[in-house]
This record gives sequence, structure tokens and C-alpha cells, in this order.
Amino acid sequence: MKTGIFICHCGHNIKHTVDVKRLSEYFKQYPHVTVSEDYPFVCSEPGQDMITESIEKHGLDRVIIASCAPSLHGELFKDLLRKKNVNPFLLRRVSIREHCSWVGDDIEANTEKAKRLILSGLYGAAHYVPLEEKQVEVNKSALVVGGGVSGLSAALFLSKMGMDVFLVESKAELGGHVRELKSVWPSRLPGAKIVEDMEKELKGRPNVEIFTSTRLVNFEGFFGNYEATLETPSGERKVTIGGVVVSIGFAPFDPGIKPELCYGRDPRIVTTLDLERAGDDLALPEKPRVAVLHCIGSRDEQIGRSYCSRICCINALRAAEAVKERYSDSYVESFYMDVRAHPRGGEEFFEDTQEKGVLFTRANIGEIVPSPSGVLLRGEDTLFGETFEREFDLVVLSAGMSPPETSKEMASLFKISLDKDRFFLEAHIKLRPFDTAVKGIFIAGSCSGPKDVEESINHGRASALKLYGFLNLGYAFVDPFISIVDPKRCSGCRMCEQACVAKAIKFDEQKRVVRVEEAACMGCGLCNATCPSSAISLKGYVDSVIDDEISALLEAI
Amino acid sequence: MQAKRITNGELEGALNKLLSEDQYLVMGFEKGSGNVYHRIFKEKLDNYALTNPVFATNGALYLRRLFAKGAQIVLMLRPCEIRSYIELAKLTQIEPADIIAVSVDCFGTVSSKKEGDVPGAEELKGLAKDAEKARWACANCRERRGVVGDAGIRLDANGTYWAVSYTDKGKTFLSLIDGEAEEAPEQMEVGPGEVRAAFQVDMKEFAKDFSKCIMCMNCRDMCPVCYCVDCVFNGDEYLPKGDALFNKVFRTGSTGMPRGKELFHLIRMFHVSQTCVGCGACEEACPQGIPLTKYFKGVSERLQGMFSYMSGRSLSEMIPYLTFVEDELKDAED
Repeated sequence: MKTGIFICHCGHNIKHTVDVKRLSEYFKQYPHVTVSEDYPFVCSEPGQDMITESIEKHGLDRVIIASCAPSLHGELFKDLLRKKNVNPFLLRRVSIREHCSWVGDDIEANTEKAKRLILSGLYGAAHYVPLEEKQVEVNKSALVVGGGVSGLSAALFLSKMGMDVFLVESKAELGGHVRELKSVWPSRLPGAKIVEDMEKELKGRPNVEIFTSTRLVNFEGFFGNYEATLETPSGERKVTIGGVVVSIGFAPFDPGIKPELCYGRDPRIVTTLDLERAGDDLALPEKPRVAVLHCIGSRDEQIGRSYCSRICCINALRAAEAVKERYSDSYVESFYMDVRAHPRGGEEFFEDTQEKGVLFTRANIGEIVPSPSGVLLRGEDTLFGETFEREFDLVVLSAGMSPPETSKEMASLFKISLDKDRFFLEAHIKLRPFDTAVKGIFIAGSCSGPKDVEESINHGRASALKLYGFLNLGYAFVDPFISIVDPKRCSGCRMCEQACVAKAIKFDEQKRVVRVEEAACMGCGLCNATCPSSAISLKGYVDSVIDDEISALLEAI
Repeated sequence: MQAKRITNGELEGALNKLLSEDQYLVMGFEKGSGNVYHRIFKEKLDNYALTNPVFATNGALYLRRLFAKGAQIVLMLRPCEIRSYIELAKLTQIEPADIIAVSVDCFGTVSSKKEGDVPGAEELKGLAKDAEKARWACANCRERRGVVGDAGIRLDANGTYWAVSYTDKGKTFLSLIDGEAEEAPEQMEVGPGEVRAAFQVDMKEFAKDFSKCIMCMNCRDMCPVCYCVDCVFNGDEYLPKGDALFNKVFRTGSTGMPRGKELFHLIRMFHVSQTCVGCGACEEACPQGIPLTKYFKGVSERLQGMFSYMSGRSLSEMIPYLTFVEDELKDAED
């Protein structure tokens, strides 16, 4: 075994608080360490050349790079090994920047810690074996679940990029909630027009198949080769797809959950959506007194909803504006906690509404009491600290967004995680906002948290683009980090089968042992932790690697 | 629940009727010279004993990896043995399709290590309450009633034996016995186990008790639910010997032997705590007299309690480790 250790200064980033020279000298004494060098920037071109030349000159078969966090420059360094025909999984990265030099100023302590971490890498790498990246065929087709704006935009994008698209909608009509909106801020276009334009374009495309009034009943398979079972009005239908965009939208918050709002018990208490639907049918006096209530079902700890629904401030402003436009002599008062008019132009819209004569009162509304003469609001003005009572002819509730009713069902079908509010959880809030933990399954629109129309459309396109990037070549590489079973050790107790989220473990009734479906395995390692006799292990992270890495951290040196 | 009155003779007659057919076997106890042992009967019963006042091994141990189909086996065992069988069936270590499991009311047992005469019939009934004579596991048993498995043999307060069926297979068993089915009486000789305070111990006491361990691993080998075909503690990974041991000493410094006693027992405890029935077979097998039952039974009953689970209560109840329930373990959240 010939190991090369390359220690990076990262300019001053590492060298500043870690004695890199001492480190490179120290590791020269270890058996199997052929090269131990330090260099100002290992990731620079001369740095890369140093590594490739060393591989060539000494015939290195293990490369340890002690530098920044492994996720940075991961592929870059792997490619250096590939170039020299060394298996890229014989590379070990050690983070001595994020884990040592950036942590403190004590050179002595940092250097000792770096020494331990590199030693741990050296011990672990000794157990490494070459691993093979597997190439699998993938279907260039996609399933889009949910035909709201985000689903429509995802389907349209995928279809334009030449992918076969199956769009599934549970309702009879496409368009979701947006179809019901009379005018969508800020473009002021009718919601129906927005979705009908998209629908028309989609229906004209030959590679799109639309299923309305259809339920998704089963989903199985693995990345690139998923199979979905649809329950269509004309019977069951199975489709094979490469990946999925899940865009099942949201459920409007039902104000009936809070009985003190008297919603549904008095026709003068309506939601913003009811107001849109009613249009000109509102039976209001000449000079109506209208109250608009913000944050209904949002930021409300009492009913366990701490999140902000993000769309309802603009909805409330639009409702106030609509009343003001129709009845110029009306008295419109908006009761808010904070006005969060966050989209572009939102703040100006807020100012505009104020100029049009809408009154804004920062208040907590405690009670709504309908009486024959009007609807009485009792509350507290939180700026002045005074209680008040006012009577109105109409109370408009700006209701927020709830997670879709089917979020739990869909989450278990697709193995998507849910957040505490039961919206879908993305793989990483900043770096992978469209991905889920399962490869080839993406989320779009307000099913992953409240979003407005513009954001939902963009989210749909972005997810579609990511999925396209995964499938467009017709093949994909699968990580070699998959579980393998030692059949001699396996007792066939099937515990791992229960633990496996990817359903990659299959039980062999004849041999009474389990085996792993390689293409389906996500390499999460749950089965490893479950097996009582260590009969199942994860390639690249086998017990011997981890044991020796830990013992290197604990041993006397 | 369907039940029938039986006498010892009627029961043996019914089992013998079964055994006259080739594919049937009965596993139960045999009165040997001095002691009573497990025995698998073929063709006919011989020196059959319904109960066994001496505990040496848990009979479910012999059923591990029993997958054969076609042979019909009737188990006439103690409740703790039937519970172990049920746990093993959940872990697919036994194919339960052709097994009729009958749990027989247990009055408690004495240790096979104990010198002296086997308790007679009159002493037997109060045995579990006699902390001097009974094994710790029996004196603290959670379920001595024959209420697990497909059927049970119960003794009522008036001294009459009843065969009670719990499942369809139990009904088959009941149909072998002559007489009309009736409701079983409520009052039985053996009542439900007492609820005791949650087990608690500190690491100091644990280390002291286990310091006597010689790592013979008899406890593992005799445990009915420690089912792995190859244990992680086999081989050099956890228990290095020879070169592997000396390599370790060179790298890490001097070491006591045997190494990793606490680790062995803690890992074993982690592996069996959800399925442990508290039978005490481990303690019976321990040559060093370590109070293993106290720890294994104590920890597992507490753990199973957290999931409202009881090992071996029912074949349809899933082992908590194998299921994911969203709303559970609230007290472990913080």
C-alpha cells in the first residue's frame, strides 16, 4: 500500500493556526506513507499537478487530502485520481480547515487535532477497496402529481424539453386554487386566464397525457424506473416514469376551527376567497363599514400554527382595495399584527391602500359578536394598549394556508419527510430546496410551505429543470455506497426489511436470507444499524473502516 | 372464549389420539428419574408431565430455525416458553403455520442448580410466592397464566383443569377433547402478575455485578430470543485473541482480560430487550451466578412498557423496533 498525504495551507486559512510543516514531517515516519507534502493551495492547478505527478511517480494507491470540508472540491479531487486510473473511492478527505483552523487560535491544540484527524483518515483509508460507480438506464419521462400552477408549469417545462409527461389531478379541472381568483396580484390578470393559457398550451403538446379526476394509488420502483398506479375514471392505469414532481398544493385554512370567529354561522363573516367568489353579489349598504382581519390561521400558537402563510397580507390588502374601489364612501379598517407585504411591489401596494383611505389598526381581535344591526368586533389596540368595540357590516377573514389534506398519504407513498406543520420537507432548505431524500422525486409549489402564485410557478419550473438534468441523458450513475449482505451471517429475521425506507431489501424464502436490490438502495445505512449480527454493511463505510477511524482518534500517539 | 373441562387422563388421551397420526409431534415434559425434562413425543406419550417445577432451559431454544412444513407440532409448554416462541415467529426464525402452541398455567419453578427434592404437587401451588425456593425470575414473573399462544391449560380455584382456546388453531385443539364447550370460570388459581416499580440501577452496581463475568457466553447461547446464526461477538472484532489482541496492546497500551465484559452484556441487552420474556434462562446458564435476570428482565420490561408492548403477548403485535409510529415516545422527546 502506498499512501500520499497532501496537506493544504489554504493560503493563510489553515497555515495561520495549524503547523502544517510539522504535520507533513510527522506523517513521513508512518509505514505505507510514501509521500507527505504540504502546499499553499492544493486545489490550484500547480497543486493538482503535484498530486497527479506524485501518483504517477510513486504509484500511489491511497490519496489523503487534508484541507477544506469534503463537500467542497469533492469531484475535482476525485477527477485527479480518475485521470491517473486510480479508483476515485480510494481518496480520503480530511477537514482541517472547518474542523481545526477556523475553530480556534491555539496553534498547538489545532495541530494536535489535525494530526488525529489525518491519522484517523490514514487508518480508515487502509481498509478502502475500489468501488464501482454503476450506470443505470433511466426513463426519460416524468409524473407530475397535482395540476395547480406549479404542476402545470413543471409539466409544461418538462414537455418542452422533450420528456414524456403524465399529469395527474384529483379534481375534474386543472388549475387548482388559482382558477378561482378573480385577479392575481400584481399582474391583475384573472386566475382563470393564467391557468387556461397554460392548460391550452399543455393540451396541444403530443408528449403530454393529462389525467383528471384521478388518484395515485401506488408507487414503487427506484430512480429512473418508477412505476405509478393511477385510478382513472376509465379504470386502473400503470405508468412507468423516470422521476416525479409532487406539487399537490395546499388546503385553505378553515376558519371554522376557531369558533370565536363565528365563520359559517353568519353570512356577514366571509373569507377573502368567499369575497372573490361573491363578486358583485354582496348585499352591502351604500356606505358599508368593512373590517379586514389578517393572520387567520397563521402565527397562531393557540391552534399550533406558528408559521406565517405569506400570501394573506397581500390578500387582505387586495380585499380592502376591492371594497374601497366598489364603495368609495366605505369605511374599511384592517386589523393586523404586522403587515408583511414581502413580494416585489408589496410595500408600495400597502402604501397605496393606505392612501386610498383604508385604516390600519394594529390589534388583537378577541371576539366577534354578530347581532341584527351588525357584527361587533371586540379587541385590543396593541399600539395604544386600549380595548375597543366597533360594529361592521362585513368582516373579511384573510385565511392562511394549511398543508394539503393528502400530505401524509403522499409523504408515505413517496417517502418524503414532513415538517412539523405537515408540509413537505426539502432535502436542504438552501442548497437543495426542490429535492427530497429520494433520488428523482422533487417537490414544487405550496406543498412545501406557503408560496404565492409567482413563487409556485418558479418552483415548478425549477423542480422540472432539476429532474430534467437527472434524466436527460437516458442513463445515470448510481453512487457505489450501497448495502451488501453477508449471507453466511444473515439470520433472515427481516428487521432490516422493515427499516429500509427505499424498499430495497428483499427476503429470499428459499435461502431464508435477505438481499439488497442495488438500484433501489439509497445507501442510508439504516439496515446496518438494525442488523444485530452485522450481516449487512454499507460499501465504503464498512465497520472495519469506522472502527479503525475511531480507534485512531482515541489511541495514544 | 370457548373452554372445556379436562382431567389429566383426558388430556393425555387427546394428545395420544393426535400422535397416532404420523405427522404429529408433541413437545412437552417427561418425568425422568428424579427430574423432569423437555421431550418431543412421537407416536405416543410416555411418562408425560403437564408441568415442570424445575427450570433448566427455555424450550423455545430448541424450536429456533424450525421452518419445516407438513409436520404438525403441538407445544405443551410454560407461558414464558410460548412467549419466546411467539417472538421468534415474529422474527421469522420459526414458521408458525403448523404449530399449535398451548401454554400451561405455571406455578413457578425452582432452579435446576439447586440441590434437593423436586417439589411435590401440594407444594407446587404456592411455589412462586415462596421467594426462598422459587427462582427470582418466577417470583417476579409478569405472566404465569396460560393465556398466550393458541390455547391454554388453566386450573380454576376449585382444582378443575380447563382447556381454553384463543385462536382458530386453538379451536382445533379443543375439538380433540370430548365434552361440550362452555364458558371458562373467571376465578383461576394463577392470577395476573403484580405491577412492580420501574427497574433502576446505576452503572457502578452494574459494573460490580458483571465484574465476575468470564465471557463464556453461555447466557447468550441459552437465551431463547438471542437468535443470530452468527453473533457479532464471534471473531476478533470485539474480542481479540492472540495476534489481534497483542496488536491492540501494542497500539493502545495494557489491557485487562477478558476485555469488553460490560460491552458484551450491554450490546446483548440492546439486542434482546424488546423480545426478552424474562424467563431467566441466561441466569440459569451462568456459571458465575451473575444476577442476569434482574438486569435483562428489568430493562426490557421498562423498555417494552414505553411502547405499551409485551413480548410474546400476541403474534399479531409487532415488535416496536420493527414499526414506525409517529406519535410515540413523547417522554423521550426532550
